[in-house]
Amino acid sequence: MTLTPTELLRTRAADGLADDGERAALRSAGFDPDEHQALRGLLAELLGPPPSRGLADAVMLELQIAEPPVGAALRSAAGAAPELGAGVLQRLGLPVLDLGGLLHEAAGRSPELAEGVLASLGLAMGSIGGPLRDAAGEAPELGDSVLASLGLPSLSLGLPLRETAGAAPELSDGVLAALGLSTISVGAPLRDAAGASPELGDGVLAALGLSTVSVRGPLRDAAGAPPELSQGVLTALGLSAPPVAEALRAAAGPSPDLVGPVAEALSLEEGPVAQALREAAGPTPPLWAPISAELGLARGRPQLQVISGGSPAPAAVAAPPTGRRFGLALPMGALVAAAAALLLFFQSGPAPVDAGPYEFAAVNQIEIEDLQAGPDAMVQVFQAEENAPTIIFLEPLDEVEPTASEGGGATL
Amino acid sequence: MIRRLAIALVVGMLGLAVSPDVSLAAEKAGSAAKVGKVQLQMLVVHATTAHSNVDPKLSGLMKYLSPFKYTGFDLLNTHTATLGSNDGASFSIVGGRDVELTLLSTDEKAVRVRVQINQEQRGKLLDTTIRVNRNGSFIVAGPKHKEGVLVLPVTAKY
Repeated sequence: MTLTPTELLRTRAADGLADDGERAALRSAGFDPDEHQALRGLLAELLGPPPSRGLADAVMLELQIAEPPVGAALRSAAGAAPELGAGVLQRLGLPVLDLGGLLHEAAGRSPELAEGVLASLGLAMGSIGGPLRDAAGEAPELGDSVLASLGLPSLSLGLPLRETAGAAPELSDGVLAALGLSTISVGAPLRDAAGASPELGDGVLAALGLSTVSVRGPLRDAAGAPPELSQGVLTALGLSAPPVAEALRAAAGPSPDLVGPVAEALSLEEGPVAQALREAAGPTPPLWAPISAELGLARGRPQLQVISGGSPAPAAVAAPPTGRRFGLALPMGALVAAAAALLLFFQSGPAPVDAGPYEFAAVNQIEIEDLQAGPDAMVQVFQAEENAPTIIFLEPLDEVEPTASEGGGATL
Repeated sequence: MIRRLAIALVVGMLGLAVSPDVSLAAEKAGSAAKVGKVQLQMLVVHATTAHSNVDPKLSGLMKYLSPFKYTGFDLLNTHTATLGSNDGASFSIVGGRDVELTLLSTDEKAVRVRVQINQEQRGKLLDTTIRVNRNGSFIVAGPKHKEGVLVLPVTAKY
């Protein structure tokens, strides 16, 4: 059997052996070489033998023997791998060295760095936390800044939550009712059950064999009258006794003028009364001294000249001596003089001139609105202590000049 | 007739002095005067180094004068005047000097007082206007007198 040239070309194309010229001749003869090649591959795939196992696997499978762990068996049979380094080094004539120990020895002991670092920082051992916290300062409050960066307002959650929650309901009554119990006040039943508390003091004293004593009275008796401490305390504090007299006078104010109301009540005028008194009295006896002595006043009246509108000073009643009606005039004159002295006393002012030590107010505050001295005088202002009366010291220049004292103030 | 009138007057005055009506009238008058009248009191004290005696009436003043060198203090005189606003009083003191106190104004808390001191042949020594608290005092000192100076405490009482 022989193949035609075309059949031979088709076989070569199916086997993939045709060259380009042969493939072109086949196409010119009406055959597709690619189709022939694809058909051959399909047939080889369809007609080919099924995949087969390896021989060893097939035998082991046939003998039903599992695949042996050859690697493990070999490692187990080989045992521990011998240390070859030392043998190799000995074979090469090199010494066996403990390189780890040599390295440790060469490196020496590792330095303690903590102490040096702390010393360089000026810190003591064991007190790192405190200095660090001190150095760090108070932890900043980040909440507000974080909320601000997030565009959220700072809120106090506790109050809104409480407002939202409202008042907590009273549950005790409901719970007691659910349990079939009544709401009771424990204190009152307990007190009722206890009754009045017994008086233990007498019983205790009796048990101790002591009598009931009144302590307060014996203590007061033993203490005696309380000492007068006010003067000593005031002296210790450098204070003077309170100016009671001055306070009373200040509270009382100037004494009222009684002449007017009296004369008005009597429907009299002052002029005729004075004249009648003078006529009835006759010669004026020297009454001022005994009256002053009787009233506790000093002799003499201050010299006073009223410039405008001030209360005039009392003037001594001067009448020409007559010497008549002396027998009746003397007692009458005493009575009239007493009345006149009474009028004068109420009219002349509230402050008895020489009634005792002059008291000054505890607080003396002044404000100098204007101060002018003469052309040949100099003025200095002093104050010994706070609230003391201010001293305006006038120093004529042609007189002795003041000298400074050691305390810095001027000396009069 | 005159004697009867005088006796009736004296008895009536003594009775009225203690009667409630007059006391009430006096109280009203006093309250009215309390606002407008002020009692100005001026002491004339001679501070000296010639002795060490201190007038007992000046004991309350000593603590304010203790810083100064003077050892003796004599109370020469006391001047008192009850004044209303714009009233003045003049006092003659030793050394040919005159002290004139003028109450310029007053209120519940303080008064304004003008103090003028003049001396013969020298004219004006001092002219000052001071506002001092109620019942407060100030002291004018310095005019020479014998072996010392004059100290003039002034108090406004009302």
